[in-house]
Amino acid sequence: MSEPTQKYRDKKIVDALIKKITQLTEEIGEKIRIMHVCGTHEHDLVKAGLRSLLPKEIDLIAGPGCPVCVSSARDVDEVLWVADNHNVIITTFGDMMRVPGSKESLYQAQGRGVDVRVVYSVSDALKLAEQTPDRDFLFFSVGFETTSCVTAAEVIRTKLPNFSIYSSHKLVPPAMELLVQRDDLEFQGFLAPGHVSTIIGAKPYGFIAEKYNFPVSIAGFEPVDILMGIYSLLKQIKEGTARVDNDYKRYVKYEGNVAALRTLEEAYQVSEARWRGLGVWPDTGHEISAKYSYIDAKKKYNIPELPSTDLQGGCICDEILIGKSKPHQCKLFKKACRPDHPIGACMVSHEGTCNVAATYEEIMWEE
Amino acid sequence: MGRIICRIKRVNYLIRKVDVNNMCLAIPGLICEIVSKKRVMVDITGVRREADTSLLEEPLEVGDYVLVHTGFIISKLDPEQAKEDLKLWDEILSS
Repeated sequence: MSEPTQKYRDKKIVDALIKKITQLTEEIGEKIRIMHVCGTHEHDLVKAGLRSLLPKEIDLIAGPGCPVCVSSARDVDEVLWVADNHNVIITTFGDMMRVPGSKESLYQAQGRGVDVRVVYSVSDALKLAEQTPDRDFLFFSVGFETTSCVTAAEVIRTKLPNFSIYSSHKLVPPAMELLVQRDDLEFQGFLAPGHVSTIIGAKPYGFIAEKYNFPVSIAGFEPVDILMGIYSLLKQIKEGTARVDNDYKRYVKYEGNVAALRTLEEAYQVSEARWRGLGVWPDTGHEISAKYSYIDAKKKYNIPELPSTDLQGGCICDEILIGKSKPHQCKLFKKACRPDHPIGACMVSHEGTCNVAATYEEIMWEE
Repeated sequence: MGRIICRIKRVNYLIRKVDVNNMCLAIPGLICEIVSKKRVMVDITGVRREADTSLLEEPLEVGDYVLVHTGFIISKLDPEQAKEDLKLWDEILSS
């Protein structure tokens, strides 16, 4: 049995919330753009059909919240370079398999004989390395704070000589700051990711509300959770205030998961990170700290500078990732680029904006 | 301008097997057995899986709801807070 979620999907509560939201939107009387920065939000809100229930003045845009989609081609290239030149077995999460590199994805490389194994967790990758001591293993680790603290736990306690980790971890709050600063994006509030917040808590978003006077609300993933998040954002917009509302209090504490944060701080140091098509963003990445450099694949293997291209054949993943364009504005969408044949990274993961749009086709028309 | 109607259609693409493994998810589950200090069994919609508790400071008991992410427990449900949520929604419903 899993968590009793019925109440969080109750139609009566959803209807009541939609009514409240519509009322608030009318009172505000302007077009409102809200950005979420979580792939699971995009997936769950589209699956529940929430966009169609919201008043049309509200535009819910998808930010760079899917860790698979934001992985740069260079990271895939580097991992494959290690596999080719050092005869290393690659282990990674299933949805990284088809993320396009400059020339090929891990899946395509597997086709020409590179040994790539899909694992559910970094612990499973470790088990594989333990069972095969005569081969070297590399774990290609991606994800935001939620996933990086899991990898961090193994960074600290593992001392296997045939196991290394390639960290492509990214941070959410500093990326949110960079999005607020951009002149080409206009939106009025952030729906902060629930699962990332279970780790980091509500505290790190404080500076966005204070410094930039920008409303933030932390939302869970059931329909009622998401609507509650939107509702409290609208309330802030109407009042003209900016604060961090926590609407996922049953899992998210103000100070976050203290043990996980300690693990993160111990294992990683903040660094710059490459975001697909968006270039290098300062202070948005997590590198394995110097203390544990023996497990860091980037230090273990002398990886050369590799020329790489993130966007191929007219792909506009860069614009989709920051919500500047919608999937159907891409000329490849559902033509050359499909869930079964992705060209851009946003089409790869189940939570990528393009994959969601193609899988749960939203058909809109006027009566 | 008329009313905008929206219909969601689930399109079934032929998804290859490699896609089944989705990392970026935290799934709610129920603790059904304490194996050792760092290991528990979690029931996730009927499937039992071992999970690591080393990222959680709070003590866990059988019957607790938790969030599991790639084999690790990252958060424990606060039942008091969940009850508050329900109360809040009842207020919204009745207002």
